[in-house]
Amino acid sequence: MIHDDIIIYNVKNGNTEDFGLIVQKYKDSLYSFIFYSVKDEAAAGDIFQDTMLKALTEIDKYKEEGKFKAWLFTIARNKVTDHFRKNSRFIQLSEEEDADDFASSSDNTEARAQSNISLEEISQYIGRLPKEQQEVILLRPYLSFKEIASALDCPLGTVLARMNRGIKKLQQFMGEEYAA
Amino acid sequence: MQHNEEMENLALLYSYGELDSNREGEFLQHLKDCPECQNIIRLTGIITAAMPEVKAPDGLCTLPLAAAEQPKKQSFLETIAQAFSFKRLVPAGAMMLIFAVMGITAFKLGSFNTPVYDTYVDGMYAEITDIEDDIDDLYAYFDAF
Repeated sequence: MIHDDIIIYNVKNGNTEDFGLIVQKYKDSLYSFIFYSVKDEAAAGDIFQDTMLKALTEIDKYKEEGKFKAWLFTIARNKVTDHFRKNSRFIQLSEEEDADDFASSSDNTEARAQSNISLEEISQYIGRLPKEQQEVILLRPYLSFKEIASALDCPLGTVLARMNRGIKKLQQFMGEEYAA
Repeated sequence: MQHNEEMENLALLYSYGELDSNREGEFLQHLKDCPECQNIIRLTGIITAAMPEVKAPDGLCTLPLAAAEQPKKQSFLETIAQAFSFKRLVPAGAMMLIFAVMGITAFKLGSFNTPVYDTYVDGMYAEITDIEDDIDDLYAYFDAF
């Protein structure tokens, strides 16, 4: 498989059709991240296309440093943020605001077996996390922790801390007890 | 080894296969007796399993691919820079120099006001005047007879 930076070099030098290789390589992972972030197929499709078009038109801003994937997902993350900003009905919590205020008592006490946790439930619980924790959990399937740190422009330790707090909070929502 | 935040970070790295091999032995030793770290690994597995990769719908890539096949539009500055690139400037400069030399030479050769031509014409007039003077002298001589 051709390295991303080689493809990008060709695109910058006029072979824009090579960008199609990038689209094919990352379409599923990028779409998945966007879909799980916005939980709406139509919106995810629009954001996906906007992300790819922006990556193509602003390709000159990317400096070949082996971090194209993180750069691409950063564009997607910003587009998702813009989407939430426009649709103000979605409440985006920051880490300063705690999602515990929004957790209903019935969710905290309801027991859920590990193997029965569904996509919908996980999506719902992730949506109740603070934005910083959500981002890390949603990006993790597609980027390594180091790539996430690069995309979010923060230290690796911060990414790990957010992930840790996020999954512990998810456990609270799922109503499980810490194993003794 | 005691459970702490560092161990929790190692648990996260381990669960996603990103733990450095030089720390793996130490962590696995800790993991055997740490329910908190075991729980972290379990939870990350649940989250990963609950969010499988979603295939992008067909047709979604049409617009970006079509845009990629369009020729790259140059900005105005890029066009100017390309027009005045070194590769083009040198032969263009040489041609301009040749045409300039040819033009100046043609102007100098084709002009009727050149000093060389004037000198030549003046010389001709002088000779004709001398001949006329000689003819007048001859007439005067013959008139005397």
